[in-house]
Amino acid sequence: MGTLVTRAIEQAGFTDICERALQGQLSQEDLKRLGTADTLVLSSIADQVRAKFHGDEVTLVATRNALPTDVDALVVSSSHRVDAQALTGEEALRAIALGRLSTPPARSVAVSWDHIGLQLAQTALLFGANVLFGGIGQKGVLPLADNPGIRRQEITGLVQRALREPQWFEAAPAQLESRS
Amino acid sequence: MSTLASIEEKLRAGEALSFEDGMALFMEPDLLKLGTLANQLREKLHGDHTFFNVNMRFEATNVCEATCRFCAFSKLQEGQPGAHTTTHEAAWEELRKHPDPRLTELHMVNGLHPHLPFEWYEDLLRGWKRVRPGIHLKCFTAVEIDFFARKFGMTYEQVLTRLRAAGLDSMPGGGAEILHDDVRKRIASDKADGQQYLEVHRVAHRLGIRTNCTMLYGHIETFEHRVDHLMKLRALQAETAGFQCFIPLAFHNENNSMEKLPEPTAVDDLRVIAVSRLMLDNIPHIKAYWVSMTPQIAQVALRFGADDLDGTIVHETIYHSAGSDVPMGMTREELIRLIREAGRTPVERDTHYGIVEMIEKAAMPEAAMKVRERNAARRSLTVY
Repeated sequence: MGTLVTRAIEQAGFTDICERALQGQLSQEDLKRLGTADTLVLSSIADQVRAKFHGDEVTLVATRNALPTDVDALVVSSSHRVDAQALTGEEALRAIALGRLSTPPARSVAVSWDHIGLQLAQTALLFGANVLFGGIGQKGVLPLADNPGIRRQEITGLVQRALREPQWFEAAPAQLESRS
Repeated sequence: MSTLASIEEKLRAGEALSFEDGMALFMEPDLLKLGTLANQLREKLHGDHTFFNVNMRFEATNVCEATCRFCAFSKLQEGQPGAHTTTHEAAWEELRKHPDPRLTELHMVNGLHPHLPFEWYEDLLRGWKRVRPGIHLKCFTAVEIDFFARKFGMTYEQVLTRLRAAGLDSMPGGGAEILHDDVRKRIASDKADGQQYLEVHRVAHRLGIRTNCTMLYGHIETFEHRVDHLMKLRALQAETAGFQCFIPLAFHNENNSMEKLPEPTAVDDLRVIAVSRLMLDNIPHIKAYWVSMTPQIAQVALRFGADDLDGTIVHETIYHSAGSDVPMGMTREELIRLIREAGRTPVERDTHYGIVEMIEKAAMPEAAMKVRERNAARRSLTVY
């Protein structure tokens, strides 16, 4: 992280909290204050913790494969509808960043593309998530209810476009492999 | 060499960024850094005000002579399945029956129809003004204006003067695609070229007609082409100050002849918003067009340099014919929710960014606590 972001964190008064986040020593009081932080300040701190403890590798897990034991899954769902209980996009990302910061730093934080959609799941990689999971289907072959067309290579591509290194946790059954 | 530090220095001094600066921004690996920089400029210009309007879209005809390769309307002829040209009555009725009394703007872009006479368009505008005299008519892209000029043997100035007399108030920014010849010749070879697009806007600005501008990104263009595009828009704005808003448009790949190209992803959308904000420091507004980006990512883009979410729209067909599955319209309440829950102040605007209504922002700590509470509740349920 360069001076620009460091300065933005400093100007917002979060330098000490950022330090403690990187040491894994955030208090409840710190987390409460982080809840009021500017979204980019919050995401920058969460992203620094992600980078320090987990690097650029992103673990991808197809559901039905159990998540690795060192992963906490945040189930955050998102919708823009007024009457929806779900969070809007930015709220979902804030929740993910706060989830990253309230989880012990060595543990991974996972979000599901089934719940927030592929685009927000990709964006969540900037907000502290380092594991993505969800259903995998192939168009017209095994239509899963909510995500008929999501294929492994599409998800791999999304992670690469975010300049991270995708790593599938466990090979999906052969019949689900996309050949398109 | 351009670095983020040298770019920041220039921004602080109010200097225009160079071509090299633009390239450095597109290649900067850290998107949060870019966002932070763009957000600083956004807040310097607009604070936390976030604009939207109550508008409707109309496409009078999707019949089009041009053969743009990215377009799902491309080269429709009258009589082909899916080809449609409205009647005046139907067009006027659409406005008459619009349910929202707060409607301020009608946005219309069309295909380049080979047979409709110029008077047909003039009558269309006049009729709308009769139905609703206060309605703002934001109609015809520069590509259409250029088409009219060639087809009917008029200058740009004559076309625009006649349309204005018939009721035209301002112009949308569509049709810019990528201005650079190398790209434009390959994807949009038979309509106004980059020079002509800019010239139409120059003439419009001189006549006092405000316009928007756009860029279609994420297809075959390179970062060089994008920066070139932004520099050209910036240069015209320095000359005329007539652009109100820049709208980056993401390429969608269904039902056109570029289906094999991957579409831009959320991080690409956010990067284009951030770089546009920084490069186009003399264009007041940067719009995160929710139809192109999805409402969710458009909301996030409000932290990466965007200050406008467009409008309610109601019935969008251009992106939807290219495979977009976002909703056809959003309600005013949905737009307000997106902006408030992003901790910004929603400002309902008219087309010229006059304030129609300023809506109270949500108390940020309260909104943030709500996120924490919901998150805590969910976490306790879902740790595997």
